[in-house]
Amino acid sequence: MGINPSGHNEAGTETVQLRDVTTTINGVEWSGRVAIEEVLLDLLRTRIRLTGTKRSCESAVCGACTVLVDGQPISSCAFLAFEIDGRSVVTIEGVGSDAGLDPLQEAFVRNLGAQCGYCTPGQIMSAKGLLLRSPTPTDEEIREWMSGNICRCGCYSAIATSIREASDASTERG
Amino acid sequence: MTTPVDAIPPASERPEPWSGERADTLAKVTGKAKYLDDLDPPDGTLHAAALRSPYSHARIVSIDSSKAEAYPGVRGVFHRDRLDGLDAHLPIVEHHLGLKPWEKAKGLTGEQHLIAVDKVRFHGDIVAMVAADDLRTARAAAGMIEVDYEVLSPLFSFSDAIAPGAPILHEDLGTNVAFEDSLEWGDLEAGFEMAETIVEGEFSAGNVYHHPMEPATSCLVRYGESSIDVWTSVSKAFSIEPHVAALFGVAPEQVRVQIPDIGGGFGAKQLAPSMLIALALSRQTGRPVRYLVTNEEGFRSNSRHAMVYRGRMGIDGLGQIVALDVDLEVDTGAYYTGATIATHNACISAWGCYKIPAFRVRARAAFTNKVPAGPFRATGKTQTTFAVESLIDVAARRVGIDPTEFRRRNVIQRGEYITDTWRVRGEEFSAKTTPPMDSDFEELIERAVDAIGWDGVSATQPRFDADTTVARGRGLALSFRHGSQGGGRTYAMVTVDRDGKVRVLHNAPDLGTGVYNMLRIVAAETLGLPVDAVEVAFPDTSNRLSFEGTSAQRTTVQMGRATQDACENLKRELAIAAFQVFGGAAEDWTLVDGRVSRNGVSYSLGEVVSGFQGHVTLKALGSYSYAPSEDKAFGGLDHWAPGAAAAEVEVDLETGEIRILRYGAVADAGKAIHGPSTHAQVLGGAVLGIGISLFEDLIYADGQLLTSDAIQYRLPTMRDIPPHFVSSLVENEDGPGPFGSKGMSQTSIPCVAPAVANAVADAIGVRLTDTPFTPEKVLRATGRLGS
Ligand code: FES
Ligand code: FES
Repeated sequence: MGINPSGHNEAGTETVQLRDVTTTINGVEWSGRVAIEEVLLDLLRTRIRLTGTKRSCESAVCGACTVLVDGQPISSCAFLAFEIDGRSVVTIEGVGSDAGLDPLQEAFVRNLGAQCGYCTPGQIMSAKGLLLRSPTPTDEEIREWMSGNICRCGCYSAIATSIREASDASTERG
Repeated sequence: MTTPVDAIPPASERPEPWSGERADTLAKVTGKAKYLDDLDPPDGTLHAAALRSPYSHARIVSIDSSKAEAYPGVRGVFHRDRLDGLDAHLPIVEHHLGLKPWEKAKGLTGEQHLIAVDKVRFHGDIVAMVAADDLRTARAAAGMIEVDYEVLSPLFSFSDAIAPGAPILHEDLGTNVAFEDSLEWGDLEAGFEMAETIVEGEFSAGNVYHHPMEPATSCLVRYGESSIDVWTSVSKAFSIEPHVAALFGVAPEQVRVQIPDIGGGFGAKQLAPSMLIALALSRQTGRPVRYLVTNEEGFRSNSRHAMVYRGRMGIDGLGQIVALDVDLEVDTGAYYTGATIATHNACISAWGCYKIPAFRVRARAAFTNKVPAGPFRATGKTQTTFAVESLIDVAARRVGIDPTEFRRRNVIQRGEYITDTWRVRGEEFSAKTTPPMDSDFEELIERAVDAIGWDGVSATQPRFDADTTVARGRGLALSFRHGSQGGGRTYAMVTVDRDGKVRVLHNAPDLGTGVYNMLRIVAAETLGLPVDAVEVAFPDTSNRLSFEGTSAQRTTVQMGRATQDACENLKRELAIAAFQVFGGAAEDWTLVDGRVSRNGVSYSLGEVVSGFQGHVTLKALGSYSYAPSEDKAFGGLDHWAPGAAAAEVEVDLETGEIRILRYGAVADAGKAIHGPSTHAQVLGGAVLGIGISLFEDLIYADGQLLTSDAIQYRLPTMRDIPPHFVSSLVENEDGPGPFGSKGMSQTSIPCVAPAVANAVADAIGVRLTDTPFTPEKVLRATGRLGS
């Protein structure tokens, strides 16, 4: 939102309280100063320019902004940026690698788990969080866990199938 | 000179184009897809924020923006007293500047204007906009603008709006009636005389919001002397330039609209006043301006029309429908944004898919102080299909015929016309310029009931008695939608460069349905190339390739055909090029399996283009026009786009909750150009249908819109998906689109509410007549909750 390092908004009209933060984002160390009221979504999107994390409801309802903090999916629109100090953040840009897609991403591609794709990064990050905690979730677990991620294009069946297949893939790899 | 040799694997080794991976998915699963909010804005871009009306209806007494103007970091302010000489009354109506003659004749007023002048007419009307160095400052400054309002009493329903003495929203109009429409054929009186049974019913559908996950609708704009740039996410790329031209007195060609990835639309992503105000701020400040809407602002951008349908149906002794008389009340919200389109679409679907000798619909649309209503997936038809498909069940049960059998007896058969002639607003037209029925409802019914493992036979006795706690029932619904209607002339261009890549240029925005992937397959198949040899560009109006827009199920047929045509023309270009480069005669060169061939010698596309000295890009244009028609009911129309669905539900009589256990949706796709995308459209439409049938509702009270964020407004989640949820496609390859395809993206949404209502009636013998079917309404209908 345009907070400069001296603790003013760009216009210089307000002084805001700042915190020093050191964290890893997608495995890369990042340190900087963040305003205490700045949410992680803005830090990621506006300052670090990781735009894969999406902004939608901005009220912790839809899941579009989901990222992992220490392996836990959180709504970055409602998570204060300074709280990532000393923790590690993974966004959609940190899933998979140049060498290849993550099994979840592969499954989303295979099953057309995305239409407009706007909810997709959030869906994948939530699903990541689920598989980290429960590598072979039941269908009921998938439904419960994923019900915080809204897909207005209505890809739910394909998303559920993708998560199931990715969980099988992770089991196979052992 | 490098000679890229694009070795093409034999067809057997190529990925199956009809069902292979979709071109756009990789970017979407890796976070690389760029939506509007993700674009890097040009240097010096300002951020805009809007001040919106907190009242649904008020007179603006004064606006004082001095504090905002003095606030450090603020660069521009725009409101009725800071207009920079621009016309605040510029009508912002998508169809206004291209009004059809009958709309013009009506002398419509009540359009949404550039910005509020004397009054605000809905909770969220834009009063002022501010541009500042950063978003925080812009929002703070917008909040400093002091507006003195004289609050007026708001109108929140059609009946309030037309009641004698109701306050008039648009004083110059003198009435709250926005539009009147009618369509009729046959002799209604004689029809009802023939009837042995007459049933009546009243069905209401409330206001809902499309809620694309990318809020509707942000923009990034730059007002320059030589060119005016707009980046935004609308479904109609050319809808913006006439308004910009009219506002600033520039040539439409000076306006360049570019459209990145779009995060869903469903009708909501339309031209908005904020885009023009942002441009005015860019002109005022000399800087690019970015306006990012919040989701709550999205709730104030657009909505579905609320409608009340009153139907009276006559059935003869043989179980044939002989007459149907319909009265429609349409609530169009604060402005004339979609009044004619939605009202007319409702009229031309009010009889469902049945052959009825005498029919009449009379419709009135009225202004209310609600968020302006506009196009919504299957515009006008989610409301009428709910009504007519419910009424059909009521009629069938009344005459003692099973509802499925009753439908079979009355549906329009393949080859039949709706009727011979009809009167549209009193004017007579042939009904035979619309195509005869080109689909088999019999087959659709069969597949729908099969899909949920049902024989299609409904219960004859209500399964609801005093001891029942949970009851199950099944219901069927059919939808009748026209495909590929209207639009001007559609153009596409294909090019081939030295790298052998074929590029498709066009202006058909992809809102998530897979338009670009569809065009890629059409081009690849037409040219005999693998799909990855084709790239499809994002819309950019600077190429001047006209297209009405991605709506009304027209894109597959119209843009698909234009692309196919362009590829056919490209074959000729390639032959001429091969002749120039390699000799022989142009007629001897043909495209075989993606290679330009003559007498057993063949070259790849890249080799042909690279054979030229200097830089050459081969180009070919393709076009498509729908069949012209004088008819004012449907206008030009290429095909019908019917659908069917069957639902099995469980009704909890203690809580009033409805659970859909099994749901099957069927669409006549003609030919699914990309199977997975087509199925995804059918299922996705049904998911949206579940939301608007069971819980989505824009509630107004105390002068405000109450359910205007994702917390208050309940959207369907994965938990709401029926345990058994399937789609099925009819593919007879008999449509007018490429390879026999038809438009189909809106066929599934209208069926959900009536299929569920019919299933509920089957379960408990109680008829739900008002969407959404909330537990409270179910309990009231069953008498377990007093009114
Ligand atoms: S944008 Fe954060 S949950 Fe919706
Ligand atoms: S793919 Fe469009 S919202 Fe999920």
